[in-house]
Amino acid sequence: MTKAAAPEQLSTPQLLRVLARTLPGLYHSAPGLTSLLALVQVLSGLTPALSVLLGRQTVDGITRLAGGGVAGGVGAGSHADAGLLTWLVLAWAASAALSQLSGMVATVLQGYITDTSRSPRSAQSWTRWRP
Amino acid sequence: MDKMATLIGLDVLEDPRFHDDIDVIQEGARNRPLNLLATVSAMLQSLVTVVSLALTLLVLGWWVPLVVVAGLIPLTANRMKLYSAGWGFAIQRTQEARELAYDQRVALRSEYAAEVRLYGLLPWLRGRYVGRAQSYQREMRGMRNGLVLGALPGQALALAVTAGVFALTVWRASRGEVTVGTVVLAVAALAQVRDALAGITELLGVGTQHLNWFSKYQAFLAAEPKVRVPAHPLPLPARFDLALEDVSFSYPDGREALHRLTLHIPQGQMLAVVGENGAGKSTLARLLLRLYDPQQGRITVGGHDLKALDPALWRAEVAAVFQDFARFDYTLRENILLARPEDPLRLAQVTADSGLDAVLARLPDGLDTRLGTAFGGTNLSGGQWQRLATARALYRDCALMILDEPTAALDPRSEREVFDSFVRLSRNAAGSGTATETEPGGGRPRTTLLITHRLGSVTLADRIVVLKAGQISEDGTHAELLARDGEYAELWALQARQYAEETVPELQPD
Repeated sequence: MTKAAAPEQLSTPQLLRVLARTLPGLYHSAPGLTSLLALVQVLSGLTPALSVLLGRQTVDGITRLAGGGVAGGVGAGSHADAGLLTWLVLAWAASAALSQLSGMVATVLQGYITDTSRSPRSAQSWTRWRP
Repeated sequence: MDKMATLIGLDVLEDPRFHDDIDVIQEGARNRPLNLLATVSAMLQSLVTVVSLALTLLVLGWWVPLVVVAGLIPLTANRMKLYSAGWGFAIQRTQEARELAYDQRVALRSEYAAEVRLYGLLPWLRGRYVGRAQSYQREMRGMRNGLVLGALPGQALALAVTAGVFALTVWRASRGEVTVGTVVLAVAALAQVRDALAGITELLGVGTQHLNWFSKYQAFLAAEPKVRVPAHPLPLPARFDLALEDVSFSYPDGREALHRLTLHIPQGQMLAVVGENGAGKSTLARLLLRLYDPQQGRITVGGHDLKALDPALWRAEVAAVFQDFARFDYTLRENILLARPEDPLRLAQVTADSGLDAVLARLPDGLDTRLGTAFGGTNLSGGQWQRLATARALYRDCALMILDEPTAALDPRSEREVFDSFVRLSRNAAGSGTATETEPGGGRPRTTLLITHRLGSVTLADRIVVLKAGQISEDGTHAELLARDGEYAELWALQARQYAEETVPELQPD
């Protein structure tokens, strides 16, 4: 057999080429679900930054409400600050919930994609697929 | 399996590297696609996390995200190296892993059980297995330890960078330059960037292994066999006269099996090919089945180059009984039909002709008895399996019957019975009609190629060819070759003497 012999350890450019050939194959086995998974993962990836920013705002809000610290620098806190803090806490909780939920959804989607890619029809298209 | 169906020759299966690759591919086929998907999607998530958190660190200064990310690069590179080396190690040792599995098989499987016990091999096998496994694990541990120790400077740098940025933030907060909230942001963001980058490095390492696997998988899919299906195959010819023209063939290990062989076999002829071990007899059969293509010369069927015919159509016209025939752990009926439509009359006829009916009478479920031990079926003796392989070949309505040592496991009486059946069936086929262009080979005389080194059976053949070192040394009928007093006559005399020596003691009174 004349084999396109695969080198035992691939260099980074070779790995990237393999990735470029492989990802379309994975995508074509279940395009809709794969796109949805990507969207969920992007949202999930944003939640830590969102939490950090909300945390910063919350701490600065508390500092202002307590009437001290550098954050407000304007003396005693107001009803407006208390209202803002409530919204910040709610937003933080929503962000945490989104993070947890997206993790679960991603796991479920990966399972669906795998099941789809294992169906005989999909397996055939996967085997026949060429870059 | 789809890909294997395209590998129509045997050349690929005799390459040990192919088995190494197949082992790796098989081992990962179930989970690698899912794992790669999970890795890529987790990587996407981690990248978004790192970028967005790095943007939040901009509140500390434009250079902070750059320093934090740059400080983690050596650690990332080392982790990738660790995973890549792990993969490389596993690949290099694939053959050793296969040998370990083979030792295990020899120790556990029933086909080796008698001799393993007779020769007391279990302690030796166990010692061999344990020794190899320990050496494998020792090397793997050594490689991992080296790489983990090598990662320490990278770890120290990453720690120093994050600690430095945090200390700077606290100092600036103490001077009133940033808020308390910003300090909290720095603490959380630095920790999470570090974790996310560590996650990315893990994912890159794992992803490297998946991609290495996919590289092998893609190479397997792209593999081109030497024996190929023609793009525009010719239709099967009306006649099946066979010709080998100046054919040479060497195996992948360089061993030359046939050397400039020229042989014409008219349709309907019963040709016996004899010769010592390694003379090229079985290779001749494999070339006629197009399990290999010759490196020099050509084989023609009815004047058409065998390479120009569709191998599937050609093989549908051929039946064969090999010395190392397959023993399928299916029912007896499935073993004979092998995916061919069932014809009850023909099935009954071939079981009788192959001498299987006596075996059949003793089986609990007759034709539907599951055979072999893999699934708790009935195991047959070597001779009974050989009769089954014969029945399988006889069941096919073929134009060419290849019998490669078909009676090696049979006693002389059974051997004679089976040969009589072959001869009768071949003669019946020969007298049953004439081939037509519209019905290739239909009602055609059957050509029989009998390969053996047991000369007692070849006297029935129309013609005998003696092969020696891949070339024809003699060609003629039994009587002609005996009269020539050459290689064949010498082999005949030798075997006759052996038979006489084996038979005489049985006649001696106790």
